[in-house]
Amino acid sequence: MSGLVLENVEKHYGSACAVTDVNLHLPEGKLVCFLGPSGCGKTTLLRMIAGLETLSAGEIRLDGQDIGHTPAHQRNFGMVFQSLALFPHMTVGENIAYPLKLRGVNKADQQARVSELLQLIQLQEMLDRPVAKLSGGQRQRVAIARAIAARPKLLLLDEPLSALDAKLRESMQVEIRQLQQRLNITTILVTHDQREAMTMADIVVVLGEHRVQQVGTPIEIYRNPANAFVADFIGSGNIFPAIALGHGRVGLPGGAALQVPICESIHAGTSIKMLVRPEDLQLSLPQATAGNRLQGTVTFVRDSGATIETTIACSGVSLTALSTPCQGIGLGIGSPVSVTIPAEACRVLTA
Amino acid sequence: MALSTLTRQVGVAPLRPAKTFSPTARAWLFLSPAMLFLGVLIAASLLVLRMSVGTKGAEWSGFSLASYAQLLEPYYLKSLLLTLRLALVSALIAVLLAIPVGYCMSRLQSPLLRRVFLAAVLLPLLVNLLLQSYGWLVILGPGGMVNQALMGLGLIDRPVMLLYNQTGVLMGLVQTAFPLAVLPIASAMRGVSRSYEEAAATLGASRAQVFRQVVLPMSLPGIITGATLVFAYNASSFVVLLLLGGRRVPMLAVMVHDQIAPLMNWPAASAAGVVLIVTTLAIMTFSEFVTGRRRRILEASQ
Amino acid sequence: MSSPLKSLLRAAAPLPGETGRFAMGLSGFILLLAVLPILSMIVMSFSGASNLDFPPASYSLQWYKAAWNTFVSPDASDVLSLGQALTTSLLVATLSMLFATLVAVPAAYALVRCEFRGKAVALQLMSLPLVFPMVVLGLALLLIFDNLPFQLSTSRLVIAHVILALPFVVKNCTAAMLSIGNEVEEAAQMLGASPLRAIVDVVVPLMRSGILAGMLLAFIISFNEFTVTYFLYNIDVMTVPIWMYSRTVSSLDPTVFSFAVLIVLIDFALIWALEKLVGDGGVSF
Repeated sequence: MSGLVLENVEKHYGSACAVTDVNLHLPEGKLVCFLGPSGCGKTTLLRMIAGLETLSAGEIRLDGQDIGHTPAHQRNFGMVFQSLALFPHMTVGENIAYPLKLRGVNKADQQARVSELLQLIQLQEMLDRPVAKLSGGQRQRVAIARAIAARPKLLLLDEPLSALDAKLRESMQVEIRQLQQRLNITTILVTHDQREAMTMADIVVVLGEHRVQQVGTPIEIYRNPANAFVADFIGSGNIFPAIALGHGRVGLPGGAALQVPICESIHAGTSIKMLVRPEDLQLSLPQATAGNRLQGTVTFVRDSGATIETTIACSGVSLTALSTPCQGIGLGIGSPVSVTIPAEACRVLTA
Repeated sequence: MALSTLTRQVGVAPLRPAKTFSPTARAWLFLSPAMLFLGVLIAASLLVLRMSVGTKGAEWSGFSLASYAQLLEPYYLKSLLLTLRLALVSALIAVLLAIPVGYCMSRLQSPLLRRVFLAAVLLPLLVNLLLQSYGWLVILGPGGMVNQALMGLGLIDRPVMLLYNQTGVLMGLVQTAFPLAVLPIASAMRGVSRSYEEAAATLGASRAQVFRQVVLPMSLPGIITGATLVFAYNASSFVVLLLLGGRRVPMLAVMVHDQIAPLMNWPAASAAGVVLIVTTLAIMTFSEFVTGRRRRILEASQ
Repeated sequence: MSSPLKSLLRAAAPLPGETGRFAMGLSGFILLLAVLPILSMIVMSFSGASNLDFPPASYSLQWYKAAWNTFVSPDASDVLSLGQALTTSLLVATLSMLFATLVAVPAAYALVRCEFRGKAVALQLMSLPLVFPMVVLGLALLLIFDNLPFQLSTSRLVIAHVILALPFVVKNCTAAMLSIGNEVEEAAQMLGASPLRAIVDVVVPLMRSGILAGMLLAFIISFNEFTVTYFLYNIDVMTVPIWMYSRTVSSLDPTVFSFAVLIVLIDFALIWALEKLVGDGGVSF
């Protein structure tokens, strides 16, 4: 099988488990994102792929060849570290040429390759600049150029954008994504920022509680979270407990009932969890209860200019609705309100 | 430009079977050159231990505890007590003096002042003790600075004897070991963030209270370390005694030397040496125990 | 009290966490006492009198002249000339510095980067020379060297001085290595450098200021060492401190003060250079 395959990969430090039971197939030429909260083991997993950590169990294969025990310097992977780890005692050019020097490439070819890469990252004039004299975004690009200088089989990015400010980070996300597509290089990106994952990834691997929770395209993960963990971690969602009543109906703690998509595997009487995205809720002035329209009271309003978040107490649960200012109906704390929850927007999660 | 060529493989390092080296073996391999030198130190101390139970004339083959028994004689016992007392008193004085200096060093802003302070601390530590003893002769001698000043003030009629007795030795001990107290105290106080002081001040503590109730307790491990270092250093002090004590203040270190140089009594010298080592290690272990516990409490609360 | 004076006083009151004038004054005074022996010795070297009365009755350069004469035309009565002692001192200090650094860098690497069995023991051992009674060290080394089947002369001083300097050099290298962090080293490995190559290409160059600080300290310690050397020296191998002691053992001759001032100046220059590295965060004790 081509691409990178992880089979039953496991890492523990003494009795503490970092990641366990990881089975993944990362196809060639794709950008895969390991997404998860801090401490979920995503960096450990990346470092095992890089060869910077030993495997406690399992196998890592690249294009059918077992590389799980190959030392890091023989794997020919490029990696961009969180701190970037540019060598402060070398110039930009020396940093990029370092992997070529190690491989015994002759001086002329080194120079040609370095200038090719500098052109790619649009820093031609920085060749002899010491690394300390670069701006954050420039360092970022130099780190990427250095990582791909020796034409690695795999590019690993360990939260490389976390040190940048919000605006620069967004533009670098696009830049890296475009570069990756032009070079068609298989890339793994580790991040805890779901927006970054949504922007850049072909495939998102959600990690949590030391294991893989879900693998899918960004939209799949957002629309159809596999479980409560993913639903909670990706996007902001209203997650609340409910009881299955059968025939596609669920009961809320406060007694109201909702119509939801029928889920064959769940029997009536089972406790479940519901997910509704805030942007799917519709608010209106108080109207009679009908279908999926419920009565509630506003408990908090957060108007951030571009969007308005309204929190409503409704049949024993707290729901947050997201609306744009033009949809606003002038609600204040304590106002009675009607909430419509479209049946197709409801996701039933096994508790 | 054909960017697709950028991902083509070139010059991949040939795959070699990974050498499996246990991390412990690798670490000790790196440590081995240093351990070679420390090994000499350890071998030497074992040798001293062996010789201390030897007998004079048959240092390598004999076995007797006579040298240790000799140490229990009043003369030697007095010397041991003197050693402990002078080391303890000098450690207390040095720490008392080091606390304000350490505090200032940890809070100085100006780089030049910091350098001057550090130089003034390092000079007594690094400059050859012999040279500093010359200075003490100038200060404490019969016609020296202190006697001239005291006579000038009319406090005394004729020079008092400050050299070649315990007073002079004590001053020398405090001065030469003073930096060993300052450095750990300054570094401990640097670890006490200014925000603690600011917090205490906003709660209504005066400057003196802030210092006594916040800074001092939090830097206690450093203070204990400093005191221990001074004690250990001075318990085996030799040069100061040689030059300021004129051999009239018989601390243990001098006895170790005297047993060899004029007497050639290796077992006796070794036994005195073993007592020195044991004293030093005991006080270090005790301090490690105290500061370790204290540090754990401080860390747990942060 | 007039209000401008009041506001002046208020402006001068230090903020919490700043050193007040009282603390500064007190520390300055204590530090003055700490360096007083060195200062008074320097003053005395310019004395025009021939006793140790302080302050000297008159000032002159007579002792420097006398010292210079001793240096250029050694007395027949001197067992060894200052020139020879100085050569020995410099040789021993240089060798000690080099050896201490060569063994300390890999040791610091192991202590910082590796997790291994016996690490606590290794750490304790590294600081052992710091607290080991010097007299006993001198005695013990003398025992060892005198019982070896072969003769060591200069090298026995070097071995002793390396042991004494080791904790300081290791401490500085350790601090330097800690400040680098391990990502640059891993980066070098990811780029294809073997672990050893990564250390040589990346770690050691980045540790430079810490290594330099350690080297300077080792040099200063060796150059000033007295106690252990006092046990180990012999007529052929004598360092400057021992030479000076042998001259003053019977009577204090103020020419020694002029030599002492010279040595203090060298020491001060070395310490000042060391502190330049402190500015770069390269030194620690």
